[in-house]
Amino acid sequence: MFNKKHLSMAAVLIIALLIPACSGGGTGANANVAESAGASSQASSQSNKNDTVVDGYPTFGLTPDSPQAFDIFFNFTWWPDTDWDGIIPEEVTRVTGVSFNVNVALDEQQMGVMIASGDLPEIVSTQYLMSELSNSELCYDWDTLINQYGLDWDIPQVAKANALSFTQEEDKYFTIMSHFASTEDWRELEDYGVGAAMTGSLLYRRDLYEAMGAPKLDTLDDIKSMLIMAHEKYPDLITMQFNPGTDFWYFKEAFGLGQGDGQYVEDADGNWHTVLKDSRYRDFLVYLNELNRAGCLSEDNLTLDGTTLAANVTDGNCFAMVHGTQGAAQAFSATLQEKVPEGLVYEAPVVGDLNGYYNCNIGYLGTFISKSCKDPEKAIRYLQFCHSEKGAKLLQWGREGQEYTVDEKGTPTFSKEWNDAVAAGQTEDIYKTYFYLGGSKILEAVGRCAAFDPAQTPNYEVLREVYGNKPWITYATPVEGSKEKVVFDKLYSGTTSHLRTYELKCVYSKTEAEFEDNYTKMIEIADQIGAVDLETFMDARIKEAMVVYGVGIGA
Amino acid sequence: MKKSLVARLLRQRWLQLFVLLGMAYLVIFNYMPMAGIIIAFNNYKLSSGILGMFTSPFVGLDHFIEFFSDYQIGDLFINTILMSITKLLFSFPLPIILALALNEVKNRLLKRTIQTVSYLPYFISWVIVYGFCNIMFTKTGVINDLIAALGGERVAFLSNPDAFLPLAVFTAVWKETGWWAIIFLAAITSIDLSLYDSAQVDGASRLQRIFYITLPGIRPTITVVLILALGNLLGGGLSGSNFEQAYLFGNAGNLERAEILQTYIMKVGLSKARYSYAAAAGLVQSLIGLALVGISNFTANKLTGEGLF
Repeated sequence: MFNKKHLSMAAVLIIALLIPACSGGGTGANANVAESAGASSQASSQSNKNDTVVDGYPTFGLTPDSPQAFDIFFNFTWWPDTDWDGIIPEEVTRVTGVSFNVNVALDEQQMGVMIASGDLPEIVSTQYLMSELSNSELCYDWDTLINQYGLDWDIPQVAKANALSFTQEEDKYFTIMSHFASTEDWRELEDYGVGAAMTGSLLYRRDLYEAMGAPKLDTLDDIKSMLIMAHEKYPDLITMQFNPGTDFWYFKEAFGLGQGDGQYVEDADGNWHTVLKDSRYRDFLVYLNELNRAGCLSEDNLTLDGTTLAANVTDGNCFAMVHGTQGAAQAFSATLQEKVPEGLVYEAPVVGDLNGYYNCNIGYLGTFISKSCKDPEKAIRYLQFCHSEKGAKLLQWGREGQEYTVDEKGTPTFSKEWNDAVAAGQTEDIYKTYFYLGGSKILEAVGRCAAFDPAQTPNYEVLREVYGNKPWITYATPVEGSKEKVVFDKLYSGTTSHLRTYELKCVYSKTEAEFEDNYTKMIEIADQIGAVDLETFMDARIKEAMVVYGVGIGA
Repeated sequence: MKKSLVARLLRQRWLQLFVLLGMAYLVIFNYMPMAGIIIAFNNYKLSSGILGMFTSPFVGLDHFIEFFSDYQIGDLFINTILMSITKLLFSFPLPIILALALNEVKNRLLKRTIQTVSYLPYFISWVIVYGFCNIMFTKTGVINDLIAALGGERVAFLSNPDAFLPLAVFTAVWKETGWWAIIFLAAITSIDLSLYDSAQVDGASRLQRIFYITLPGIRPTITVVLILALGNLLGGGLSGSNFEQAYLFGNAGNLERAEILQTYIMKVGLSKARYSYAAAAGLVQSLIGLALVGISNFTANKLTGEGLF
């Protein structure tokens, strides 16, 4: 039935099918691209490559005559920039030749499933699951790429230390976090005389507040009184809601607990304890629960997304909202006034314990070059561009001479068009400032706040003086694969963690007795999960981490 | 005998090819992945590649012990089983009742309209259904407006743990009843019409005809559908995916009732890259499913003399 001709055809067919199957399996094929480029014969041309300058921008070997489009995935459901267009992306492509096909996460589980399937886009930008991505099977480590392609990039030790804190492979870092700012870095804002850290703020309807007689807003009790008064006077409005991204930040900070990204707090003796058992945390829960029982909160907050919640403010259906600093008040006002001409949104002043205004940030965005990347050399060179001063300014402030000019101190003055866009909340429609990948929190703070009406953002100067960073708490997070990490994740990680679940149960308790019951259960279950042993472990680990950052005993 | 079998297979070779394709599908996508169960007994990491499934350090029953000692385990089992059984209790008889009722409707236009309207929701995805609910059931939604207009107090349907199950059952019944009614209607059409004529001549009432002819006539279909539903009880039975409902309708407010085994496996296992732990939890769920199929089949055989095997 089968003759030689049939057999030979079948053999050819099988070989033809096998060749791409053997070579095309993600890591294999693309690894070759990286490895082949590391040959020594290319070394002489590398130094020339590193020095390329296009229109005044150091582009580190990238040129517009060699375009490259990458698939990029932003692991944030709320990411505002979903298309590579607008003034900044177009300028970036004009000088570097790089562009992106942008994909944004549909939900917070998507990244984990993508890792599990091994099906990663070429570039992944995330704040979560960075330990899982710091893995040679999935992504390129940066030292290897920098050495192979002969990049002239001296990455600061602290930036490497931040990335090494969550890596799965010793001494290999797979990203450099954007937006790392130490407490000392934050003091630079005082020199600029403008801006404040992106942290929690309480936006409120200033026009309605004035109609209530403008009660004083100097303390947490004043804030509570204002909200209860607003609930009584405007019963048809949602009194206060929380933005999913910034959540309870404003109140946690005011109670001395930091932004909420650190699960451990320091006592007077310099020892570290779980926030769950801290008296300030209980006070914070009691405070919000009292607001809930006074009718100021709505459980609907838990089921609505950021867009719907923002619409509640801009449609005039909400009195106050916990949001972020850096421009939200101005942008919300502009949109609100389209429906409510007299509507005005202000940020409430910084109140409470000023020691609580800090985050625990080792950086914001980790960008990873996955093994499916078609051109890892261009990818790493592009990331070097993003982390350079000129690149970061272009990505966050736009084009020098057009969107901004700087004085001798480096303080920018932005164009009328830029300021108008900021005031109208249209920065992302016109400029697209979220594609930074590298970037600096200080530049971001200055850029976002340069055009603010100071009246709408009272006492930012206080934030500029007091705001700090305690990165050692995040640095000390247990490593992937350890039993401590399992307990840590159960207690603290994600929206379904024990802390988060019971925090909400306590806040939304309907009676004082229910609150006490939930609070007691929260502590009991935490101990059952392993909070006590973890606290001992974390105390030692945070103290070790403090040394890395030059603080604490032994630094 | 052997020769004749080979001869028959050869004669049917092109038809057998279709069977082979189906079998290949089963082997590749259903049986071969079972080898992955091994990672439930070791500490598999993605960095160790596919071979790592077999070479990762053996940890015995550690993942199962951790799973069964999780503080949520009681709630997880209760929620999963409660959601499955409650949905089955409502979603299993309702399509039969709807099919029986539709069978009695003599106006063809009315019958077809009801049939179409009732099965259309089946084609709407759970994401869209959740979207509808998010508009209708919030505290400021139309349902609460209605409750408030009638003098009642607004209810946080979407974030209240006590409201999760009724909402899950209500949406499942709304979405799936019409579709399953078609299966039973099809079974009813196969009943010999002369039985009805004879019963009518003997003076049987309409209800008597339903109870003594229609229901016994579709009993084999009811049994098979019930066994299939019980086999997939933890997955949602007849009434759509438990996972999709719990995942979409679950939120921080109602998590104590909305967290079920499948969503837990997704969140604690897959999305935190704890594949071995996820495999262990998944295996437990599969074993429960297998036991349910066996028990339901045994019970059906005993009670009705009919079963799948």
